[in-house]
Amino acid sequence: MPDNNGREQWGSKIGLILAVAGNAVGLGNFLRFPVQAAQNGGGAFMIPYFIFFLILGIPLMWIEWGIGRHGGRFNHGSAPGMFDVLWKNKLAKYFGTLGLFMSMVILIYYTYIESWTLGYSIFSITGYYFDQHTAEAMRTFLYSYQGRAAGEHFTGILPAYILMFVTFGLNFWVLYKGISKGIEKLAKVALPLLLIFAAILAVRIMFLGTPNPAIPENSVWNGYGFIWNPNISLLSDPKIWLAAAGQIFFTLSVGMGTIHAYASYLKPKDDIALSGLTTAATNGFAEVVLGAAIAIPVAVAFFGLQATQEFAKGGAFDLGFVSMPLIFQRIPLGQVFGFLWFLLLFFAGITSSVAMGQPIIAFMEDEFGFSRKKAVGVVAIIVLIAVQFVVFYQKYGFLNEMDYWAGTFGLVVFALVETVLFMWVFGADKAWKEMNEGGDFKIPRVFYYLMKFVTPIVLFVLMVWWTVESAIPKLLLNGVSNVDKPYYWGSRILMAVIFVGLILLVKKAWKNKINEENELR
Amino acid sequence: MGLTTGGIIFISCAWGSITLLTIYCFVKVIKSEREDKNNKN
Repeated sequence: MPDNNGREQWGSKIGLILAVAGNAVGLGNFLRFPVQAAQNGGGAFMIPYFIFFLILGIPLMWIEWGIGRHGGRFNHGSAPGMFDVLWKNKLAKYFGTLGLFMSMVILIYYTYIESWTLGYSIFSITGYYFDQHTAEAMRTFLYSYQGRAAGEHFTGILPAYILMFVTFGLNFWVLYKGISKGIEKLAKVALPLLLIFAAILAVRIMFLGTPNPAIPENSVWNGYGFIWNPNISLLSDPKIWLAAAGQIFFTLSVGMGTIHAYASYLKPKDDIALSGLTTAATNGFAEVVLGAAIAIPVAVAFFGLQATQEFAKGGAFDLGFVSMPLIFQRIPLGQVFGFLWFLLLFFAGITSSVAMGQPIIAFMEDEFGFSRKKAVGVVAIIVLIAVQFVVFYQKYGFLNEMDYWAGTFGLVVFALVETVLFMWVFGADKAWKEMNEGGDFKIPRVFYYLMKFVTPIVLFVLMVWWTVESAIPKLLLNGVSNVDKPYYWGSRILMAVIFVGLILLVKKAWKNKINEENELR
Repeated sequence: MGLTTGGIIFISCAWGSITLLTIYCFVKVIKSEREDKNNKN
């Protein structure tokens, strides 16, 4: 591809699509989605899920691609600069700081979670946990690996720490290699491989049938029924709709500034209409077809409906790191299938985490003129320092607190800000033209109205709902033990330091620019 | 329990629509990339 204002560029369109899809396809597709579907009305959950896919997911995808490509035209690869060109107001760039904050904070703890999947892929192929035959034992194995409890396999946190370091190194090595030679190459290998691994597992599980003929109700088909049989009466419950909207939000990795960063390396006439839709569809395929066909059906087949519900209530980690390892112990070639499962999670994780590193690196490069090497080095040092708190204080809820404010609540706030800025402040007509520019197809006109009216309203309702339902209780530390409270505050202080630091960096970057302009005059 | 008729309908619609959309999009992307290359040549 020809030069792009001297900035890096994607090697191919398919590479870019795989990179953005890789960003979206993460641990949530294989762990969070089946739990959400099963807990919220089974097949009936898919009705609001698809509605929100159309009115929230796809519009936000196009909005973020549009903002990103538009910002790239002005040599901005991160939200502060992008917002600054959308809204000629000195506050705009500070709103954009949210896009740096969210991706950076999530990167800090996500890299650590990602390293568990790498560790478990090694433990699977070596059969290291294959002597842990109960859920309690498997949970102890996980906790002892994380340094949260004493266990017979791990005497300390060192193995987890080393693997965190390896994962961290891999992430920053890919980021250092750059857009086409690092991120794109990784996506071209990792995304197809993870889809193949997931397909192999899904097919294997489908043919498991009834593993124990003495208990016929424990079957894969009952597992499918658990996820897909519709409980239509639940559709009148607003919680189901909000859960579906939340899932669409998480799964597409919108609201964190990563898609903007990737799209900024496009040329002004490159397509975003088809590319945005393709990434959303690929993520949907990985989630609805593959994600729903693995963890829950196999758990029902081996443990029954009630135990699976307990695992699902325990959350995504219980399902992924406790129930799945127990199942791999019980199937032929379990070590290989376990290896594939955790490696696919690792690939899903790393293609997402490199995307989270890109906005802040692009910010350093574009706004401070740093070389890629210097930008990656600076970000790596900051993240490495911050991740220490996550590793050593995870058992006190340090990670959970970061995950809630940056990885959950913050996303909807940022998405609402960007939607209002693009569709209302920048202007819906200009935004619509931007999104259709160079498009391989024309976005149906109905999306103009969806993006302008429906998407911001849905985001606003979601934000208000989450504020009342969880943000206020979380803020007041309801249900947090006195022992853990200082660590929750520590987590908040760390996030505040990062946020204030980013605000000051943004301020300095713009001050430097004004000084440079004055000198040129 | 197994899959009820409703479950079969939902799983078929969900899997069918998302798979078709994904295939349609990728075919279109590959075609457009090929056209771009031909135009450049």
